[in-house]
Amino acid sequence: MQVHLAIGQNHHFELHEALLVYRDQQSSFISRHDVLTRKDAPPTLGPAQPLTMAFVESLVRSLGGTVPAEVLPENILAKGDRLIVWWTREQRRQMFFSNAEGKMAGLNGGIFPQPPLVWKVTNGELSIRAFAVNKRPQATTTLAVAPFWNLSDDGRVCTGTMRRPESTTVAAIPAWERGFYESAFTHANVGRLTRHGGGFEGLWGSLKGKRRRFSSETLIKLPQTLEQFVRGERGNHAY
Amino acid sequence: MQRVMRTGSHRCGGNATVCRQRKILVSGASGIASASGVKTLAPAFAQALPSLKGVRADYTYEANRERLYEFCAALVREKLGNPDSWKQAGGNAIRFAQSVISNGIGAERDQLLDRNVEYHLLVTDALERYGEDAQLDSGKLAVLIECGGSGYLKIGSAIEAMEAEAEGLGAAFYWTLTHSLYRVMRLYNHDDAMMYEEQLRDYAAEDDEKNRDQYEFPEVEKALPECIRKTLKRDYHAGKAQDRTLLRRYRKGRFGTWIDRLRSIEQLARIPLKQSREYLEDGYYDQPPLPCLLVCFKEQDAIVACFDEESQSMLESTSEPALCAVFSPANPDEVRNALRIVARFIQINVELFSLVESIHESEARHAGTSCDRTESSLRTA
Repeated sequence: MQVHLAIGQNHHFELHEALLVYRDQQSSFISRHDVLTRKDAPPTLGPAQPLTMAFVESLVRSLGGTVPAEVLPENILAKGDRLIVWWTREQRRQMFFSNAEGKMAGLNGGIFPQPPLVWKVTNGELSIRAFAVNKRPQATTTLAVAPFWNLSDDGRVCTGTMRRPESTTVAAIPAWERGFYESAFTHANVGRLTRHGGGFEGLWGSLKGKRRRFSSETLIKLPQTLEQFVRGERGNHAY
Repeated sequence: MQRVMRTGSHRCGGNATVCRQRKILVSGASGIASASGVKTLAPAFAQALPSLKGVRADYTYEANRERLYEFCAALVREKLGNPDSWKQAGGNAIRFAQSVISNGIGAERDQLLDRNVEYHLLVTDALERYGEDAQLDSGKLAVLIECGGSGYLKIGSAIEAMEAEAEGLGAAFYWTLTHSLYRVMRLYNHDDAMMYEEQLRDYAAEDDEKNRDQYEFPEVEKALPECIRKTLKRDYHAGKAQDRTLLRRYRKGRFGTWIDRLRSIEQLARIPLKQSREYLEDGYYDQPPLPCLLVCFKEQDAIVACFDEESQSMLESTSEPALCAVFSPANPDEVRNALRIVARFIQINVELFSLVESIHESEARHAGTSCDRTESSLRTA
């Protein structure tokens, strides 16, 4: 009886081509070069060749551009190759604060009511917006500033050492949410995060351990719609 | 944001901000000319393009090899391999696993199988799925046995001799052997030949009347020994009980060795070992496993004729493996179960082909026939 084993793969890669990236302040271009190998001499670059669309497409494909089809649950609002947008209802979550000046130390580890949120992961970056009504948002639903530290004005989370899944699949959603809430908020990025009279500390101080709902009155409304947020557009007006 | 270290009480002192620090760029360090000075795009050098001196020209990368080493470790845990066999394999995991499996089968049994049938044993981390190879999930491996050329048993003269000893003994032997082997492997026997004939008759019936004369039908039923023909449509359970009684009665007689082999095959076939057939359902194989054994009654009889016709296309499409056991090498229970499934399959084949050789030797002694059906060109495709 012949015995065969086919476990794992052994890949041997040889240097074939090089891409050189040229960049100025506004734009960049890339040249492709064959690598010429000669015996007993270091490899050298051949003359530059134009990049073809076929090459770029094959490069994108080989870098993981093919996304497996998935069944989308109700909470998914948009899905693309490297993008996923979902929403969460009002909920109560534990939050951690770790600020150099000791602000919010009394609130660290408390349970807080949360507003309905829209979450977007694109190219490995997480962005979050809040919204007022606790139901699935439509394309025209206007969004609000998510009242959290570590968020920039376009909603991007400064992730720092936060645990981040590598994928933008449906299955990765719980890990993104867990990563966000199980990390400590360390600093404010945006000037104003809430309409609450007591500011950020007053807002979360009034909510700590409370069973009541998050008041949408305290959210700072934006001209940005869900559709614009998904597309990475900022909305009609500056804010 | 800052990852919360839940298991410890460590707190960052000082500035807890963990945003990426802005890097200070030194003019020229990144190849960008500073505004204050003029700089050439490339250093003064005969060759304008940058040199690749010191750049690695190749890389070797092993993917999913950890499963191979886990499998080797499992073979050692099950006492099939040891540090000496690892040394003998020169520390090569594939060579180690191959030699350990071959040693487990044993040279004598291996030679017996090689003389009679063509089996390939494959341990793999991928199985066919929708017609293409797909990686098995979560550290699983599959052990497959595929048949590349079927064995051959001409049983007519043995049945005849046993019927001469006692009426019904030959049929009892045939039916018990057939039904036991059905549990473990695919056979090509009178049943398949009759189905092929029925199919041929259906084709003929659907064909133009003027073409019907061109069909030659193998007439399988007429080619069966009378004792088999008589028992074709008997009640399965009642027949089985009669067969068992008859075989037990003649166990000490002149066919005792064959009946003992048959009993071993029957006992091995009854061991409740569940193969991982569910993994094969998504494989989209074109056909069931290739037959491991062709059973006929006479040289070039109707069954052989049907097999020769059907076997022409058997290797043209994908067939299920004869055996499939999926296991996790890290799970000792799953490893043991897979080993039991393989061991049972090999042992039943050893018993079967010992019986086959004994029957053929006996026939050669008594009739002096010389045509060797085990010649591979006469077997599957």
